[in-house]
Amino acid sequence: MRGPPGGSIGRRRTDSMCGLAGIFAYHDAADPLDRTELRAMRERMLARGPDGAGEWFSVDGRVGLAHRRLAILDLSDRGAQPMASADGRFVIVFNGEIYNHPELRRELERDGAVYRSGTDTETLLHLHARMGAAMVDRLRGMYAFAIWDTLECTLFLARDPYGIKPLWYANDGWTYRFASQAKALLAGGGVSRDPEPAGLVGFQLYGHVPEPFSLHREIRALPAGHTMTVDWLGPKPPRRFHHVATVLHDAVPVGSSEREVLIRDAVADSVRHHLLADVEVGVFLSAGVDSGAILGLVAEAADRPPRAITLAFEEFRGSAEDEAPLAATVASHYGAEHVVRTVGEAEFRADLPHILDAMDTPSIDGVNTWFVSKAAREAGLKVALSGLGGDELLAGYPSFADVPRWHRRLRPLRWVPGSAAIVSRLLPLVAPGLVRRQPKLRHLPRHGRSLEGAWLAKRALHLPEELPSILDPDLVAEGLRRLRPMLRLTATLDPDPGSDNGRVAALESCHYMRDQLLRDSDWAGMAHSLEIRTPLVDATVLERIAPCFAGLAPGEGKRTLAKAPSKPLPDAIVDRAKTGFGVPTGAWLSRLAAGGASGLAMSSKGEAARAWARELARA
Amino acid sequence: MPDRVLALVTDAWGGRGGIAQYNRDFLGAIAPAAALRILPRHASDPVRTLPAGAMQSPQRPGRWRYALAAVLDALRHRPDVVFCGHLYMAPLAAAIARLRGAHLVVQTHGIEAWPRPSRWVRWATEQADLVLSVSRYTRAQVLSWAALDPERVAVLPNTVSGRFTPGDRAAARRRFDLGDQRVLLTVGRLASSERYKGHDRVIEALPPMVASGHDVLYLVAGEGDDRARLESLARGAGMSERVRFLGAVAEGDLPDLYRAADVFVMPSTGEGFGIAFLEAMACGTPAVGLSLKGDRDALAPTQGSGAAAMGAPGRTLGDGGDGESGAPRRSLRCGAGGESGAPRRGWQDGNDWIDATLAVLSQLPGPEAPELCARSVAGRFAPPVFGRRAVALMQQVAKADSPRGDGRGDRLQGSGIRHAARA
Repeated sequence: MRGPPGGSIGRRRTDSMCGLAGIFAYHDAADPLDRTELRAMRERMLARGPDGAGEWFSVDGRVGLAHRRLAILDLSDRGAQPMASADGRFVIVFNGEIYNHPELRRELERDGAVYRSGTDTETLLHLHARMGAAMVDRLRGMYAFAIWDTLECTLFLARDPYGIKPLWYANDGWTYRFASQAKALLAGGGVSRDPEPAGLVGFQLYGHVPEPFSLHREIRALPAGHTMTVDWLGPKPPRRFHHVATVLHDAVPVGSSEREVLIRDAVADSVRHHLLADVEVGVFLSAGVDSGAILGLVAEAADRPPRAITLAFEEFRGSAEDEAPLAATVASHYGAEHVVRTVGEAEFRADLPHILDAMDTPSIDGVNTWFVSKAAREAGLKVALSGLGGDELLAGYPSFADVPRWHRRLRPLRWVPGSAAIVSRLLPLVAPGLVRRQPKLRHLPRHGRSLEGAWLAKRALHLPEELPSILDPDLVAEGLRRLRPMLRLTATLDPDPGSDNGRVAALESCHYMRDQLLRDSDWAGMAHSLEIRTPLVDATVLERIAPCFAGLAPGEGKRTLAKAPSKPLPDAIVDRAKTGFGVPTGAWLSRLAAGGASGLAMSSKGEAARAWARELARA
Repeated sequence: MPDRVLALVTDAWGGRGGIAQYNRDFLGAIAPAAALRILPRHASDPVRTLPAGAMQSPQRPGRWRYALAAVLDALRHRPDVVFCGHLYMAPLAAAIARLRGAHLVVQTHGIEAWPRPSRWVRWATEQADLVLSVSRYTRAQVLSWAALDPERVAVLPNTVSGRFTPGDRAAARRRFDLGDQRVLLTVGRLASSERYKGHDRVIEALPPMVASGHDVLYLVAGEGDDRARLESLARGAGMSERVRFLGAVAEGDLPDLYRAADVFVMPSTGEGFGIAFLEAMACGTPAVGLSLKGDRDALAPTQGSGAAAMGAPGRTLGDGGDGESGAPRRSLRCGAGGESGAPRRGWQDGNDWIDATLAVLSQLPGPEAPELCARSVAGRFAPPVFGRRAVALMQQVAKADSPRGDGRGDRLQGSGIRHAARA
C-alpha cells in the first residue's frame, strides 16, 4: 500500500483496525497538530488493537490519523491502517466490521473498482469515492470510521445505526479530535477535563452516561446512526441517517404465520453475515433463548463445531441462577465445544482496578461482559457472537408488559391536575415499607402519565426527584436542564412506532441497549482484545422484522426465535424465566462495602445497582 | 449568504474600543454580500464612511427607544439574519428573530460571557443558530452555561490591523526617548476594575530583575483611575526611575511604541482576548503573558514564531490543572524561540512569566526575528483571514434549515427531536 501524495504513513508491524484516533487543526489560528498527542491517544487504546499500529499525517501537519489494529479480516499487511485509496485522495481509519462487504465488493468490482486487499476497509474507501456521505445507506455492520479527503480537505465520520462501535469527539473551537474511547481523547492531553453536568447527572439517572454526553463537557459521542463532516470552519451538526422509530413507523403489520417466517429468516441471515471472519468465531452462551438460538444457527452455518463460552459463579452453584447446567445442555444439543469459566469474588476484587480503568464511561453493568470476554480470550478467541439485543428485538423484557400497563393505569392522572403529586405524597403514608423497598414507586404516578415516563420509571437507577439527595442540587438542576431526559425520550418515539411493543422496543434499543449494553460490550470486549458481535442488533434485521412488532404476543418472539435453528432449542430453555448473564455483583459489593464506609445491606438488585453506581462515582 | 442582515450592536462605526472594532471588522466583511442595517446604541464619534451596502441608523442610547426602533426596523425590512453584537442584547435579538422568522447570530467577546448570565440571556443564547466567540476560552465558558450543541458555537477571533507591522526600531526608540535600557511595555487601561491586567505584578517583579543585573525600564501605556495607586506602588518599590507612565497613547503612535519595546509583558489573569499581545507581536516584539483565559489564543503565535515568548503554561489541558477551562497547568512553554520547554517550575509560585521575560531580555534577537514574529500573527489573525471565515460562517447560517416554528431552543442533537419539542 502506498501513501497518498498529500501525506505520509508510518507504521509498526502490521496495521489495521479497532482503535482509531485523529486530530484536525481546522482553524487558521490553530497550531499544527502535536504528533505526540496523537500517539498518546492511540496508545491508550493498545488493548483494542494489539496486532499493529499506524499513523498518517498530512503534509501541512494539520491532519493526523492513527490506528491500532485487531486483525480479523485479511490478516496480512495489506489490511493495515490508516489506509489510503489507490489514487491517494482518501485516507481512512476504521473500527468495526462490514458484514455485507463481500456483496458490496462484487458490486464495486463490477463497477470498475480494483482491490488491493481483502478488507472491508478498502470497500469503504471505494464506496465513499463513489457515493460520498450516502455510502452509509449501503452498509450492514457495526462501524465507526473517519475518512479524510485530501482534495476537499474535509473529514467525514460515521457511526453505525445502533451505535455498536463508539466514536467520541472533542472540538475546542480550533482543533477537532476524535477517538474510539473518551479516555483516549483525555490521554492525549489536549482536551479539557471540565465536567459535564448532563453526564454526571445522567449517570445517576440511568446508570450509564447517556449519549451524546460524556463526563467531560468537551467530549461528545457522535450519536448512533449519524454522520458528521468537519471542514475548515469546524464540525457541522451530526446528520442522522437511521432512526429506529422511523423503521417501526413505516412497517406494515403482518399476521402470526408471516411473523414466524420473517423472524426466523431474518435472524438466520444475520447470524450467517456475522460469521464473516478469517479467524474463529465463538459464541457467548447463557441459559437463555437468544444465545442458544444463535449457537444453533452458528452450528448450522459453520463448517466445524463452534465453541461456546459460559460464565459460572461460585455463589450461584446449585441455584436457579446457575446457568452452566442448562448452557451445557444447549451446547451438547448443538454439538458445540463448551467452555465453562467459573468466576469468584477474589477474582472480581483482583480485576476491579482493571475493570474501572477499561470502563470508558461509567456504567453499572459490564462486569459480566468483562469476565465472559476474559474467558473467551483465554480460550484463544478473537471474535464472539452475543445474544445481546434479543430482548429489545423480540419484546423479551418485562418492560414490554409493565410499561404499557403502568401507562394505561396512570394516564388518567393527566386529566386531574395535582393528582399525581397527591398520590406521591400519600404513598409513603399508606405503604411506607413498600416505598422504602421500592423508592422509585413514590414517583411513578407522576412519570407513568406518559409511556416514556413509565419507561423511565422502570429503567432509571434513580428518578429525577431522588437525585438532589445524592448529588448537589444545583448540579442536578443544571444537569437535567442540559440533559432534558423526557424530551429525549419523547424524541425517540417520533414518528410513533405504531404499537406499544414498538414504542418500548424503540426506548429500550435507543437508550438502555445503546448507551449501556452496547457500550459495555465494546469496552469490556476490547479490553481483552475481543470483538463482540451482535447478530440481533442489526439494522437489516430490524427492517425485516419491523412488521412483526405490533402483533407480537408476550413470549411469542422468543418462542419463534427458539425455532430459528432447524433443530429448535429444548423446551427447558424456552420455558425458563429470563435471567441473562447474571453476576453476583450485589453480594460482592455488600462485602466490599462492609469493609469500607457505607456498610451496605442490599436486599434487592436495585439497591445493589445503586451501591455499585456510588462505588463507580467514587472511583 | 443571507440577503438582509439586521445588526443590533452596542457600537460600530463612530464607536470606540475593541467591541466597536470587532463589529466593524465583522460587518465590514459581510457587507459586500448582504443588505446590512446596523442599529447602534452608541456612536460617540462621527460616522465617516460605511461599507457599500450598509446602512447605520443614528445612535439610540435609551434602552426602550432602542428596542422599539429595532422591532420596527425588523418589521419593515424583514431580515433573514439578526446579528446580536453583545450578549446583553440577546433577549431582544432573539425575540426579533422569532418574530420575523430570521436566523440568529450572537456574538460573545470576553468577560461579559464568562459568568452564568440571567435566565433570559441564557434562553436567548440557546435560540441562536450560531454563537461566535472571540476565543476558545470564551467559547468554553458559553458552553458551560448554555445548553447548546457545540457545533453551533464557533471561534472568530479578533484581528490585528494592518498598520501593526515591524518597522524602524531605532527610530521608534528615539521617538520615545529610550536609551540602552531593556524596555518592558504594557498597553492597557489602568482601571481599578481591571487590576487583573497585572501591572502590579510587573512593578513588583522589577526589583529582583534589577538585582539580578538587568537594566530594565517599564513603560506603562494607558490611563485610568488606578494610575495613582500604581505610581505609588512603583515609588514604594523604589522603582520610580524605572517605571514610566505614558498616559493615553494615540492610536497612531501605538505601532512605534510596540516597536520600541524589547518585550511586551502583560501577566493578566482575566484577559478576554488580549489584542495588545497580537499588536505587539505584529510589530515584531515578543510578548509575554500568563495564557490563562482568552489570552491563551492571542499568545498561541508565540510557539514556533522564532521571536516571541510566553511565560505561562501552554495549551496543554490534560494534566495537573484545577479542572477549569484554560486554568493553569503545570506543563510550561516559555523561552525565547518559542520552544516547548519541559516543566520547569510549578505554577504555584506564579513567576513563570518572569522567567520568560528574562529569557527574552537575555538574548539579542536576530535581524529576522521581528518579521518571523509578525508573520506568525498575520497568518492567523490578519483581517483577510478573519473576513473569509466570517463570510463563510454567515453563509453556513443562511443555508441552515428555516428556523421558524421548529421548536428551536429545544433542539437536541440528532434531529427527529424538533417534533418532540413541539409536543
